[in-house]
Amino acid sequence: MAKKKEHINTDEELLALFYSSEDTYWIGVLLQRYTLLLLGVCLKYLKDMEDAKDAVQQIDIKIITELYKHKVQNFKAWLFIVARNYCLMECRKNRGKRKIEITENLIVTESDVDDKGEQWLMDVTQEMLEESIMELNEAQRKCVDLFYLQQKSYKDIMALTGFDFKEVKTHIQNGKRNLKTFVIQKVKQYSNSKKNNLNA
Amino acid sequence: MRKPFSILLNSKEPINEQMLLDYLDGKLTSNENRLVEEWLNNSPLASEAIEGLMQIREKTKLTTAVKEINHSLQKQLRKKHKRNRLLHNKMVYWIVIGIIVVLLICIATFFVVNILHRK
Repeated sequence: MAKKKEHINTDEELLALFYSSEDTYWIGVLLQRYTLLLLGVCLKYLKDMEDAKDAVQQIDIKIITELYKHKVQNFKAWLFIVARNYCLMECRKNRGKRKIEITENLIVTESDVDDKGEQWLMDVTQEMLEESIMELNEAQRKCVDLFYLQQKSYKDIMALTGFDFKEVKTHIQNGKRNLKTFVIQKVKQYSNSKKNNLNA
Repeated sequence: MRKPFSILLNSKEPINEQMLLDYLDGKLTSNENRLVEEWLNNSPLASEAIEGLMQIREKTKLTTAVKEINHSLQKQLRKKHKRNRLLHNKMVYWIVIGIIVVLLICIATFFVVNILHRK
């Protein structure tokens, strides 16, 4: 088999190659893409480089074993869940030594990791969006407005609002997630009222 | 000002390792910074990772660690590959043995039936 296929660039393609050939080479290519990110996640929770390196290696082993057992569809989302659960378990083991930082970001919803089916976007109007932005809390509204509408960078937003990097990132992410929820609710209401009008 | 609907869309721009390291080092242009930041907003994995990566001041430590982890991953995979091949070879070995045994039983049965028939 020609292993050095440069054109293979999606995770799904690599997974399909692995499942069809059971050749671990493809898992290697796939996992190496995420080493830096996994290291970052482990560093966030474990706070120590050596512990984080060990954790990434353990997660890699877990992933390799699990991939033989289950057919994974969304690799990146699954990898994130496996990595975070592993780190949280490690933190729990060392409870007392380390303080686990629980943030709103720990709650990962399906919509965060799976962004298929954006059909609802077709019905979104400018009015709905503006109304929804106004429903966000002040910090989220400010950060969403500066980042998405005024095209400011995180650094600029930090300077303008006095928030730190993590706060800016969290406000933008949560703001975006809430905005989506508000807009989807409005689209549903709109399509329901349209149906009712047609029935009448 | 950018079209507001873009807020609801997720950027699918993949960010490579080097770009992320350059972002951490503050070496990117403002356009490139935005690409990375939009990606951070859409990827829970990257968003958590960046917080951990920012804790390390010397970015060379990160590249060294990544190299080490990848090296050990390669070793692990080679071991697994060897084990799989050994298992496969063992299976082939037992299949061949099985076929030989069945053939021998068939031949023996043929001779026994032949001898009994002559008697």
